[in-house]
Amino acid sequence: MTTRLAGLLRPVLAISAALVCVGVLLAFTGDDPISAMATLVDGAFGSTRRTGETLASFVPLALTGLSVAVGFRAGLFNIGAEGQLLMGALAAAAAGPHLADVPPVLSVPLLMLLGALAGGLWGFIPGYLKAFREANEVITTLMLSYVAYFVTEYLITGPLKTDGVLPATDLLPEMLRLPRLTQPGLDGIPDLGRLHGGVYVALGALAVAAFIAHRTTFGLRSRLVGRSITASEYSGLDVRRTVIQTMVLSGAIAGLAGAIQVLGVSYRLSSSFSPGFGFTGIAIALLGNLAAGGVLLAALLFAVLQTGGQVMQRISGTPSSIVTIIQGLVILFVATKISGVKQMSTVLHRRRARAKRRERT
Amino acid sequence: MTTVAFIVLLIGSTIRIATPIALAAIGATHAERSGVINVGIEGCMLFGAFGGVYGSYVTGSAAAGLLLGVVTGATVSLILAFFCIVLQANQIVAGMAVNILALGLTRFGLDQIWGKPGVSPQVDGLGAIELPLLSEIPLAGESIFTQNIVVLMLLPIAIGSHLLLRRTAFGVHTTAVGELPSAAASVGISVWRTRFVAMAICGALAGLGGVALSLGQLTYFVEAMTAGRGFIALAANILGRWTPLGALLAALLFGAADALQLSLQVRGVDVPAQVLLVLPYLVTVVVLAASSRRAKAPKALGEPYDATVPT
Repeated sequence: MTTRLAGLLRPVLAISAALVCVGVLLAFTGDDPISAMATLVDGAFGSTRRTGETLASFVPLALTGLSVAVGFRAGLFNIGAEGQLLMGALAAAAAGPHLADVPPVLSVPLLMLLGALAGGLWGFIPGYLKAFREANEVITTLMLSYVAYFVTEYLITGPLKTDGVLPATDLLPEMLRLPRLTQPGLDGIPDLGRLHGGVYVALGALAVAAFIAHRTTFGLRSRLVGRSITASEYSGLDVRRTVIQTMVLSGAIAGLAGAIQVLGVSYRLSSSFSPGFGFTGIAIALLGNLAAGGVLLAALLFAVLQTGGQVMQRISGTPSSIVTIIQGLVILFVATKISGVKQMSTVLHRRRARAKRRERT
Repeated sequence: MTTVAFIVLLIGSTIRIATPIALAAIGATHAERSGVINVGIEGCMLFGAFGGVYGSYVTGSAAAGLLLGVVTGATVSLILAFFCIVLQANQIVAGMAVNILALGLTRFGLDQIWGKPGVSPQVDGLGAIELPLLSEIPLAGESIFTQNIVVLMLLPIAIGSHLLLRRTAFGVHTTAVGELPSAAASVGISVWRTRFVAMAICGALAGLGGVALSLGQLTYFVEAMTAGRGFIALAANILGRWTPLGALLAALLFGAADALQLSLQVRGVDVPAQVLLVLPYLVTVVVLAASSRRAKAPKALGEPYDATVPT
């Protein structure tokens, strides 16, 4: 119990510290931090519609957070979830129009699978390069995100471009779209905005991931590699295979996020498709302590910050860039080790003692 | 245009484009040789680029902007160093935090200072300097030997860094601290101090790289304008096998890929823009894949050093 409480303490401290820092920053630039935060919370929960929107943005964030967490647990710093998400979205948006005649019971899961495959492929490349060419995945995953961005930009302005001026793919036919949880206009049913059935897929993915992590040999192998590559090698574990499998799984989850976002919210791939879901995923994974349950909570928090932040910018003019700043601060504070703080105080203490001794002599 | 003219122009733009990457890559070499991976180098560049434009905007002088950019880069790197060295934060994670913070804070700054999203107004940029005699060579004089001050500083900085790491006590300390910190500490070298200084140099050079982008190439600041160059610089450092001159050469390779892409675009080659734009990023992946196995990283790279252990 105490360990569990201690596990909660760190993220709570990190979030609080980040909010205080941003509060000071806002006060410094003449904004009222309290009212800004109030507007943000109201923007996220002020009506059933806003709550629905918040939950809708929870879906891609939970999945990208999970994607990053799966990699980090194996010591693989996949910071390219953004690119894997784009490839997943591309697969769904490109294949969708060809499946218009297939019954949706088949076509919708098939498109999600395609998205996961595309994302998994985009994770396989850095995984293979890491396993067999020792290429640093921090660099390759990010570089491949740029590649994914330019690939999608090329396709939505060229071969896959819809008619008209907008650089985007064709809109998916109605029957391929994930159902909204509410139909606006019906009496007695609360308007939940764009919240769609994909939320169940996201929750399911979190549950499956928790199962894989704790109940399968793959999950165990993955964690062992994350602990120590040398120890894993000595115990006869196939490190290369684990690295590649983990990167494929990590990429597949991000790809699934992209496909679901296309099927449930945007219905197409356009230039402004992702506001940085993949990068927010890094903050979510770390804040969630790399565990499925933690990712769930952290993704909810960041969904609130993101949805609320947009409303806040519209209403009170407080720039939504503070949400990005909170993200960065949270990551920084979560990364800090308590033992590091102790070490600092020990060193300072020693230094002071040494100075005193010098004074005496 | 003749082939010779094309190549001369290409060399000129390669040098200009490679400068920000090369400066950051040499910075990365300093940091990594001391045992710290500065994944936040992208953020240091972005802050440097912003600081440069802000300094030039406030004072009206590009020189002051340059100075502020360098100081900003160094400061950010030192803050990251504090988290990595003293607070033992995971270096990759803390570095990513700095990158995300840089995105958010510069966007916030644009909004607060100039009230417009995305881009700053134009400011006084770095002027072109004609190298005496060399600049009178036809064509090459204008394309290669007429550059702004930061581009001209690149070669001296690379050679200076080489000498600093190879020929001075500080350089030996840096290498020792990056290879086997406990041994270095046992002969009285301060691991922490050496790493802090290396990180400050790294941040200053990354900041200067950012200035080369914002005040050298553009004369204004655009949101997220570093566009992954910090990560390309990290790759250049690996390709250059953790040596300043190697990092310089590697950065020139990436610069050449970018320069080629630009000149093809300008000449209206019938290839989609994105196919060309993607080149530097693809080259980075390919080069990393080809060169990483032979590369020998400093042994203590990424490992925090516990200064409380008695030696």
